[in-house]
Amino acid sequence: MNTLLKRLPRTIRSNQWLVYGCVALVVMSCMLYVSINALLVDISESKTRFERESRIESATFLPREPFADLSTFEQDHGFAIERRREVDAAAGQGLALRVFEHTARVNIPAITSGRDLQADDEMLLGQTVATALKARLGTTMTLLGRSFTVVGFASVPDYMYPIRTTDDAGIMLDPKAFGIAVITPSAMDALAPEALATWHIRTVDGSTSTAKQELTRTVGLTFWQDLTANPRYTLATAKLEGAASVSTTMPLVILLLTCLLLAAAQGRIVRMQRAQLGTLKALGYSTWELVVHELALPAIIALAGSVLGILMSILTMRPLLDLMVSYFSIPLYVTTVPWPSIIFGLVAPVALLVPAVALVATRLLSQTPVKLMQTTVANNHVNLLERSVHLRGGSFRKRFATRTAIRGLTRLALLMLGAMLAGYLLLFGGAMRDSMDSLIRSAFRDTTYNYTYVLTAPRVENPWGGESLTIAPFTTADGRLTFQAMGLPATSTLLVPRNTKGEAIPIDRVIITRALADKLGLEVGESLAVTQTATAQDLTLTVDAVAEMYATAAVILPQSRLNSIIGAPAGSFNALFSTARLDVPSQDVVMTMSMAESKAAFDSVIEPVWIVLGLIAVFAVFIALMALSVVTTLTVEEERHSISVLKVLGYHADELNAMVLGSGIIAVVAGFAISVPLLLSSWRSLFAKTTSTMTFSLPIRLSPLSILVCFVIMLATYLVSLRAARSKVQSVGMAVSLKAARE
Amino acid sequence: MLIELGKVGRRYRMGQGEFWALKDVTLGIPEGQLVTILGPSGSGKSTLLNIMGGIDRADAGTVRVAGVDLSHASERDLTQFRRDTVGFVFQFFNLIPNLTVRENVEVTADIAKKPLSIDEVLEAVALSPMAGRFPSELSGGEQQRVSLARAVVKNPALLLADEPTGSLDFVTSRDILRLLVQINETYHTTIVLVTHNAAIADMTDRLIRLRSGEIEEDCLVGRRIKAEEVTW
Repeated sequence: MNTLLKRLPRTIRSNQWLVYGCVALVVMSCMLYVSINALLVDISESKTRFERESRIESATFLPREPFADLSTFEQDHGFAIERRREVDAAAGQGLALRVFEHTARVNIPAITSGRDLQADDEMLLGQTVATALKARLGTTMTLLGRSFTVVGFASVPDYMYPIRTTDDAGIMLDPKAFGIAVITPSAMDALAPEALATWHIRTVDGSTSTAKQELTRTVGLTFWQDLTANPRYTLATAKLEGAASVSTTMPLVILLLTCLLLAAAQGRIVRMQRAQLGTLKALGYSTWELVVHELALPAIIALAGSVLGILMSILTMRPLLDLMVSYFSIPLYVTTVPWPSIIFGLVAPVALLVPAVALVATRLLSQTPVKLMQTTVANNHVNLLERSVHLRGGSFRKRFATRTAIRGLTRLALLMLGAMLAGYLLLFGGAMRDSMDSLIRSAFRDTTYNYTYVLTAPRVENPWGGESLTIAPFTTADGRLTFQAMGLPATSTLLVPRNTKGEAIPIDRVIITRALADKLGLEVGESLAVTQTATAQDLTLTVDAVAEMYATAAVILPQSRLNSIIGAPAGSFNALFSTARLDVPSQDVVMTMSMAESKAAFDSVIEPVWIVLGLIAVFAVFIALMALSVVTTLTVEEERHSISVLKVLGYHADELNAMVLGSGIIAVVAGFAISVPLLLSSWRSLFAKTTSTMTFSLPIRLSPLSILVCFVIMLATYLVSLRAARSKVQSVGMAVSLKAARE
Repeated sequence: MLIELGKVGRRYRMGQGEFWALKDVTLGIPEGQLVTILGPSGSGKSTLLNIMGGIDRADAGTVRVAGVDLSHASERDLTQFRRDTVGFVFQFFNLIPNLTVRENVEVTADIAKKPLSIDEVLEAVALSPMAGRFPSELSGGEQQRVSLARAVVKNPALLLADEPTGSLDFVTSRDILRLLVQINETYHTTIVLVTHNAAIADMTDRLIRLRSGEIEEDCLVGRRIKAEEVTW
């Protein structure tokens, strides 16, 4: 064994905290990066395979007339068309199940556990609801008065994101309240012969324009919805893409910043050994030999950190994967070894740390041995800034602290970088909370109704009460976004659109919600080209006002105008808002929605978010502690000589602590301050991209309270690291460090 | 001649101006000679030693040591020269703190062409019982003996010692001087010893006195006394 290498384990032992802290930082960054990336690869590949093997539809439609010869029509155009019936059934304990009949050619259920249906008294239970309720195979459920045995759990491709409705509550998934089930067609005959039937078409290449034309020509259409306009599919896609952007960008940024931080720290460690390196050079060691030797520690830190991180990511991958899969209802087909991520995770820390340290070491060792040995631990060099700053006022201690800060500007920059990284992560939690909070408030603030009833057909008479309105789906001219048009009476009190000042906007004009304005980049006075989804009629609206509503992308029009646009009778309505439950016969209602349910659903969505936020905060505090500890340790090491001299002169450890390390607070505050705009700008651009095809917009908010709380956490973390550094200051001996300075 | 210096100069920049630490130094030192370079602080003696040892470069003149032209040598050649030819002993020992006594010696033996036996060298400097200790566990004199052992183990043609007794007490200093003489006699090693202590010159073959970067006196010592007889 090379003698110089024998230094290595001893160097590690004598700098345990520094080394282990550095390794822990790499472990966490690597683990986060590899596991999240692997997760996304698996989910994404599973989704693609699910769509292919379960023959996902290209569109849903309702024919105006029955098909004369369906199989010939299919053969002539290469389509697969299948009718599917569905009925909603209460399954007890607040759970509602949408029961489908089993299909064989389009939207085929994928069995994720158990087996497929073999008898009419058997059912498949949706995977998300099965996971949420911890359901077991073999249990019996009663639906609409009939008993079914659960023989398998399944996912249905057009319900990849299984939500009950696709409007206001559309972004909320509450698997404990809503799920899907599949029974045999003959069981559906017996259970609900008049169940709602929809038609599903799968084209060879997924494009739907020809199919729509041919169907319009052959049977006529009363309803048409492309798969890309189906929120139960697009939300899954968008959320996965959103998760992909956040999940790949965030860990990558953390990994790169960690490496940068460590490279800077390691570079300084090398500089601290300049006298030893000078001696070794004088003894005949070449620059190359010494550089290679100096690279051993960063290489070990990087390798140990990345290998451990990858091993830990393998342990955490499966639970994370199960969580994601149950959230999206996608069968898990693949659990690949994420080689590209593993290789990147393994190589990135080494590739970033080693060259950075090599650069520092090479530059340092280009000096003559004499110069290296002359500038010992007590660095006598006074930089330009130190010379130009003339400190006269204030106490000696303050002036000393200021001088130490100016002397260690790069050290402060390092501390600032660490504070920035930790601040970004802490504020990440704060911003997520504030943004979600703002979204919820905007969703529920302007709505004082508790129930929404969507009727099967337009009506003129309202025997049930509540406030009537007209709703119709619109699609942007480019087909990218489908949203709701709401025709409200001028006297609407249950839904009041408001401007930024909170003032009510009169409903005599074209109002778009902030969510729609954000997505389409629209301002007041601009034109909105839309297609009425059901009839494919094009029209252009001029935006007169924007309502501060983030939860729903919608256009609000006077009711009479919307009726005239969609060709509904004058004075008619097809939906009702109400504060109390209305006695509308079930055959007249397509859908009922309760705000209480929406709120409950929202809460259930938010719950895991809090857990994630908690974990991120812990991670942030850990990173902050590590970064701050690394820098404070370096500061004490570099200021050993001054500390020792001041100790000899009679200063106490506490006083020295404040004098040597006190200036770090400036860097911590500055780093935190920078992280605020950094987070807001990066989040705004990120979420603008990921929610562009969703029906809601996330208002990025960061309240002063959140900033204050995060700052206090950060400050507390800094004070803890200072407390830890205190023992390091105390451990600096008077004689020993003075001798070390000479050496 | 093992060492040949011709009109050697070394300049340092001091703020706006410059300062010549060595001016026109010309001298030759034959193999096996034990030489003392004497002078007050700032006279350029350490600079001269560093240039002879190839750890610093002259700004003027020629430097040839053991046949190697140091004034025109590349960095690589200088490293090779230090590795093969020179042993250093520093005033503040410059030991590697996290290597044991034996390992501190081994660090040089590792890269030497024909190193002496580490055990023999440690025995010679009376450090065998302390071979497993770390520098911080040793006294100043013991640390300097490790430094000597580290320099000697490669069996260098030239041993350069910069104030080897500068930070030691009298008794320990005499011990170190005795070892230097022993090395000179045993291995026929050329030794150049820098000191500001005039008494030490009496135990060497030659005295070179520097003042303000110039040779003030260069003479052979008439009668070389034993190291044990040196006193101050």
